Amino acid sequence: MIPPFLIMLAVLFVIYAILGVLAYRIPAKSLSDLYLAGRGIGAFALFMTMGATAASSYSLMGAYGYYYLQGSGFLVWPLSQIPLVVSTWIVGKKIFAVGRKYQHETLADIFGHYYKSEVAALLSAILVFLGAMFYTIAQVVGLGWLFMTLAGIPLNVTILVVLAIMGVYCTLGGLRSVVWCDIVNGLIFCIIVVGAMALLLPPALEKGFFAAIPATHFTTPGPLGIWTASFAFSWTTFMFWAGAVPWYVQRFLAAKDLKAARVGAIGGVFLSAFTGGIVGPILAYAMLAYMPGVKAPSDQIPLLIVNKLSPIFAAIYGIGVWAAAVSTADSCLVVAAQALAKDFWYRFVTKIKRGSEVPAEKVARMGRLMVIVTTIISAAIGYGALLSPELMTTIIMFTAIAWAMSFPFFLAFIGMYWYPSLRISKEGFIAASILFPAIAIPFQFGLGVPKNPFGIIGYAWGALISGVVAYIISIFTKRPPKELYVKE
Amino acid sequence: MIRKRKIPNKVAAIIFAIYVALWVPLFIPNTFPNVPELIAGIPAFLLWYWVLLAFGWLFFSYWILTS
Repeated sequence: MIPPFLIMLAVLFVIYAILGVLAYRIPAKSLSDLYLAGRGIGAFALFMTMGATAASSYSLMGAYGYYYLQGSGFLVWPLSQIPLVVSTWIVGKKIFAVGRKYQHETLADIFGHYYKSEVAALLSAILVFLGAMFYTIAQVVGLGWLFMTLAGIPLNVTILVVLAIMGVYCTLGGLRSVVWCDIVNGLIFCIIVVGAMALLLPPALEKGFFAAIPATHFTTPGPLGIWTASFAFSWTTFMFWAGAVPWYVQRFLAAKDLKAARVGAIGGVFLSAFTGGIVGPILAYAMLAYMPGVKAPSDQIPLLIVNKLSPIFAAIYGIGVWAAAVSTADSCLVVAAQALAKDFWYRFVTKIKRGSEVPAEKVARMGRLMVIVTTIISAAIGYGALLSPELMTTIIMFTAIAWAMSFPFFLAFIGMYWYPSLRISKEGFIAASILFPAIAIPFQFGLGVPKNPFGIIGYAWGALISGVVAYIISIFTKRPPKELYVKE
Repeated sequence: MIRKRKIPNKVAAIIFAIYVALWVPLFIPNTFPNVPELIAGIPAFLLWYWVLLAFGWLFFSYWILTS
């Protein structure tokens, strides 16, 4: 008998393929048509795609497991979506304005132009490509346990299946098909999470619901002592600079008008705040009241409990997790492919041809080819990670790193607003782009240095140190040109 | 796009600072178990948090739509 999870997945694949073909029928004559949907994404579509992209498998699995194990301190994560929505708009408004004015397509275009520097463009492209690529793989391998539990499919096959499905519709329709699929996926996981809550509430109420949960779950630092004030607030600062992540930037550049950009900024955090912050705690505490004492990794607890209640609903819940994961992974895949196509191939080719036109058909063909290349590279890295558990753990860590990597971009955008006092010069930007990962990653994971010193997360240390260094360097180096971006 | 009163950015920044300060009680250990449950047995910690989330969401969405 075919597992119900696979049947539902096949139905979804047909829907994705149809949307991909429909998007393919709209002619793409440039990289902007393919990767920015012709800069024509409207308000509703942008709201849904930004929300669905931000909400990953973590929003439906790991987050609920954290409430279950760590208690209410974890609420800082959905609460920090409010600083994120503020920063998303601070950055997004600027990106939308300069993107329209100068027809930029990527972050590398923006910083290459602003700093008149190929090095700044190249560094931006590398940060974007690596962050997006590894985030794609992290989402794909994150689905491994789900596929194994619900369909008995091993990880090596899962990697192929997931990437093949995404590769098809991303290649066909670029960002347009990603946005359409995101709308479908966003609706799916929201409905499923609400359904799961409705299913779990009655048995949880029977057991007393909140009264059945230990008081340590409703105060900080929580049962495991994790959520101290310094830990929580350093996570919040991280969310504040994450407004400049490449998959948000791409969507602001693709917005049809200012209204769409505004609504997109609000949507950027809404779905994860909804699933993680409104429905999430109720669902997670219902799980805890219904079935306390589950000993498993945080990202496996929700499915184990739902499975106990109803195996069929566990398959449906699995589809919700799939929808949340794939709506993130496809966006990252397209961002990584765009970096390859626009920031590496197109930049290189136009340099060689010294500004002469590249035929539109060739550009669009290469754009699609780069999606295929990115999919193959993702599969290769995923297979490489299968070689050892340590490699696999490292890959999964990239979920948060991909968000954190946007710090140098955020710093530069803030410098445009508060010019000249907080300006970041070319040299300052380059220093932050190199220093941030070099400091943040070792302190975040305790690689040769203490992990999270003084209870403050490594990413925050990376931001603090590289930010201060970038500002000091910027004082003593040439100011970026005011006339370009500051007065937008 | 929306003909509503615009919130000045400086006012939004001050409200943002006050808003983040309202998080502080959440992170003072053992504050909330001593607060009586106000509505339907829902822990005070959760109620405080939901009010903060709703206020932040509505206020800053309004700020974005009018800025």
